[in-house]
Amino acid sequence: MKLFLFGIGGTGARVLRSLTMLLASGANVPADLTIIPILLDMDMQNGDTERALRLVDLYRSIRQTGYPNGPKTDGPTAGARPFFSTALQPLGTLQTPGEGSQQQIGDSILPKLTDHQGTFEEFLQVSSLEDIDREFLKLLYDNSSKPTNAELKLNLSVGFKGNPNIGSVVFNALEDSPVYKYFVSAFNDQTDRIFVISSIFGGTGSAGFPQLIKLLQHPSQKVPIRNAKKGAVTVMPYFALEENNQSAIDQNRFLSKTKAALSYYQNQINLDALYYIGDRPGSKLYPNVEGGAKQANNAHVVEMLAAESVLDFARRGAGDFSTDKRYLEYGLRRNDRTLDLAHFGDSTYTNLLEPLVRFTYAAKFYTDFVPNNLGEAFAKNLNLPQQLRTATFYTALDNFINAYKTWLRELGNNDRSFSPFDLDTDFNGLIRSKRIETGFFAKGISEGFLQDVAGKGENNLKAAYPISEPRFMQLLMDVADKCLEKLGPLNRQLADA
Amino acid sequence: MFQSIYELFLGQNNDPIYVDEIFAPVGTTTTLVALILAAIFYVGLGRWKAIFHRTSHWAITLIIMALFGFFYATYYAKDRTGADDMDSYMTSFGGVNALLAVILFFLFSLALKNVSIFAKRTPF
Repeated sequence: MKLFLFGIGGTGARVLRSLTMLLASGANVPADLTIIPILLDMDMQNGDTERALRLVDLYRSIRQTGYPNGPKTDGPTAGARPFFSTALQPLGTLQTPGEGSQQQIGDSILPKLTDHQGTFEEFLQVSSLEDIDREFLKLLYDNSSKPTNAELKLNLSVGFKGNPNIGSVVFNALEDSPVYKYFVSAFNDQTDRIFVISSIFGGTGSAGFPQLIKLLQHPSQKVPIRNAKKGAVTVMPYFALEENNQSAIDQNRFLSKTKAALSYYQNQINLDALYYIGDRPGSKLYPNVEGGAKQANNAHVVEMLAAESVLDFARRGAGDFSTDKRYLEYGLRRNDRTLDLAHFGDSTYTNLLEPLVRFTYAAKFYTDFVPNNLGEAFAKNLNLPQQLRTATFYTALDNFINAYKTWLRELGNNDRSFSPFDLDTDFNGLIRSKRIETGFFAKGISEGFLQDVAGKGENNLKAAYPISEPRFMQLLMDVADKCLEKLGPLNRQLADA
Repeated sequence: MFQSIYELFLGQNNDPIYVDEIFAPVGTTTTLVALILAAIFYVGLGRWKAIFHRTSHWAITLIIMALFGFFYATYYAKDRTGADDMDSYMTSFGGVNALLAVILFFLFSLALKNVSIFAKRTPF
């Protein structure tokens, strides 16, 4: 099953970043799932987008080398999803019927929406309009000389700066864009689905989402697209911005924009599943930047849960969708500002958090243990002394795992904070909610324990995985599984507040 | 076989007891001990836990093997010949047997290291 995943604007990119982390950890999804991420953003230099692009590239590179024949699910790690097992495939790499006639869009997950580079005024070709139309436009859009307010003078290369009234006009042209035409051409299977990630309080997401849905549901649309199961997650306000009088983004309008959009969605948006998520903004203020490379917000648990909505939608069987609209929200078990594993419901724990725990052990093994044990037989058998710092696979894995740790730290430092892991301590203290007890005889997850597990694991995997990179990938999972065994079951009861 | 190895380095001794009663048992015991030590290192410990598997551990075992070779050969020769003190032939015999022990342990290491898990790449 292919899931065409539209991520609109900065929020789309941030949720995709979290989704990539969840998929890397082996979050529970259907085994045959392929996700086709398509980021729609005018702001091609956006820091959030750039980070998501780089991460997806690393993910694909690791997956390609780690699973040359596709991931096995019947191996030693049966029961748990392998790391990096779900395929992430750019739209431009899909086969389309009539390949020759189709305009190619490249293999980036951020295809160009339009070739337009200038201001909104230039986009509308105001100079060639009749006087009366020009005057009418001035009624609709701010044309004052104050740079932060001048909507018609807005440079579209940094997005819509929180102005959906501008974005919706630009997104009107989506239907004629090469990326949309390619999507239409590539969408042919009855089992394929569509999911859209957007924010409701910004510019690009809140403008693009209704336009895209309208387009997908239009009667002129081809039948497989019209009939496809469609879902979306709408991210409502969840952070506050620093005061910045020079910025065009006015956070005081977040809630009013949200309310206005929600009332519009109520009547105009008709999807098989519409997920809503938001949070009361915490004390950590985000820098108020209008877009561009400087817009790289710290990860937030809302984004992680929005990413889970994508997976929840993919997990639902065709029979799970009724003819009625389905609206879904997410609730925590207790409204604390600092969240641990026990704050989440059982299904989230099983589908999402257990894999995260497992992957975090593997990440720590890779960054903390392996470089210090290159003299061990398992490392030499895998050619790690020569390849760990130079081979593409290992450097990609290193970069990905460092990005994963950064993501975890950002989640932990944000407000609301999700901080289940202590990355700066030893293996026995990695899971905050349960320290592995040690004593004179029981050392927990010690260096010797890891040497034993890695040595025996690598030896057992040699026959089934003669190539070293896939063997190393399996070894990471074996080691993580043994660490989970040492950890034992976690207490799912919330500690007293 | 052991006689020719020892006499290659030591030359012949006037006392035939070395040929008749010492070279063969010392050589055989040294071979067996080298095999047992290598088996313990590579199979016993080397497949059990990662506790004694590194090149430094292997070097310690090699030194133990050499010491055993030397002291066992001199002890056995002294016992069989009934000498009160060690003579130079006896000391040289100990030295040659130590060298033989080292070579045998090295050869058994090459033969057994692939059976090991943790010492598969020891000493190289």
